[in-house]
Order: sequence, then structure tokens, then C-alpha cells
Amino acid sequence: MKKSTEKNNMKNILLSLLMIITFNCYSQDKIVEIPESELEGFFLAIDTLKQQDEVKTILIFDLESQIRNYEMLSKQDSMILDYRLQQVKLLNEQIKLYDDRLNQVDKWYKKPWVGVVGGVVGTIITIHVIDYSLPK
Amino acid sequence: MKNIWKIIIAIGGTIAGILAIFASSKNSQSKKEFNNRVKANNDKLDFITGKAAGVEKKKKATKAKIKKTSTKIKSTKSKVKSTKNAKSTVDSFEKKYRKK
Repeated sequence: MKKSTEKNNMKNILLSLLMIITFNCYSQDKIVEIPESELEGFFLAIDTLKQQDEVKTILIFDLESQIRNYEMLSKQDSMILDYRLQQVKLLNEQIKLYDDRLNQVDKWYKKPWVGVVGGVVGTIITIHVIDYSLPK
Repeated sequence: MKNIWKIIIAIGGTIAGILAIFASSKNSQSKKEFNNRVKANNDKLDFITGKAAGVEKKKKATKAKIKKTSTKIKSTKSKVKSTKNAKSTVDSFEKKYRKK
């Protein structure tokens, strides 16, 4: 009878020990006490960080858009420069055309006074040669 | 003697007349060609000037956009504040309560 009671006691002790070990192993959730002011400060800091994160995201988006704008401006400047170069080339061609034309037209024998002098001299020579005189 | 001179003048006059006709036709042809080339060049110039004007207009719009974005960036930048304190609060909280 006494032996059986001892056995029972041993069983209980073993069971209790096992239970304590099991609880120790599996009880992860510890209750931590945090002062309210500290918790409030923490949440305020989190809010600040969240808000600043949003502001900075907007800022990054705006700055990226500004980069794109400047890239576009640079592209447009390049295009304008290209057009201006083409204009300069065409105007130079125009100058060359007018220059060539001037070289063709601006000859001494094509000047009006040469024609007048030539006409007068030719008429005088012709009159002299054919001995032209008005009928008397 | 005078007859010979008369003949020479007549022949010279005829040749001069023919040459004058040829020269005037050649001159008018070269003038036409010159005018055509000048017109073609002017057309090209007009086309390029138009294109450049279009790009100038777009550039003006882009500049306005840049100005608008700059104002927006300025206003957003004014909202940016230092997060040093908030970060230190979070760090100290973490050090204090986070399980190692």
C-alpha cells in the first residue's frame, strides 16, 4: 500500500516537472510593461516618420518629373540648334546663289552705259560709212 | 571702198543681232533657273523656320512646366523636416524593448 502511494507521488512529481518544462519551452508571450508616455512618444515618432516618408516620396516624384522636363528641354534645344544650323546652311546657299548670279550679270559689257556708248558710236560709224544725210 | 565697209557693217550687224538674240534667250533661261533655285531654297527655309517656331513654342511650354514643378518642389521641400529625433526615439525604444 505504502509502495503504491510512493509510486503515485513520484508520478505526480514527474508530471509536474514535465509540465513546468513544457510551459517554459512554449510560453513565448511575455508581458512587457511600457509606460504610456513612452508608448505615445514611440507612436508619435512612427507617425512623423510615416508623414516624412510620404513627403519625401512626393519630392522624389517631383524631382524625377523635373529631370524629365530638363531632358525634354535639352532635346528641344538640340532640335532648335539643328534647325538653326540648317537655316545657316540654306542662307549660305542663298548667298552663293546670289553671288553666282551677280558674277554672271555684273559684267562690264552688260552695264547700261556701255550699251549707250556702243549704240551712239555704232550709229555715228554707220552714218559716216553710209554717208547718210537728210534729204534736202 | 565704201561698199565694202557697208557690207562689213551689214554682216557685223547681222552677226551681232543673232548673238544678241541667243544671249538674251540664254540670259532669260539662266534667270529662270536662278529664280527656281532661289524659290526652292526659300521654300526649304520657310519649312525649317516653321518647324523651328513650333519647337520654340513647345520649349516655351516646357519652361512653364519646369517653373511650375520648381514651385511645387519648393513647397514640398518646405514640408521636409528632420527625422533625427523620431529615429532616435524609435531606436531607443527598440533597444529597450526588443527581444535580442
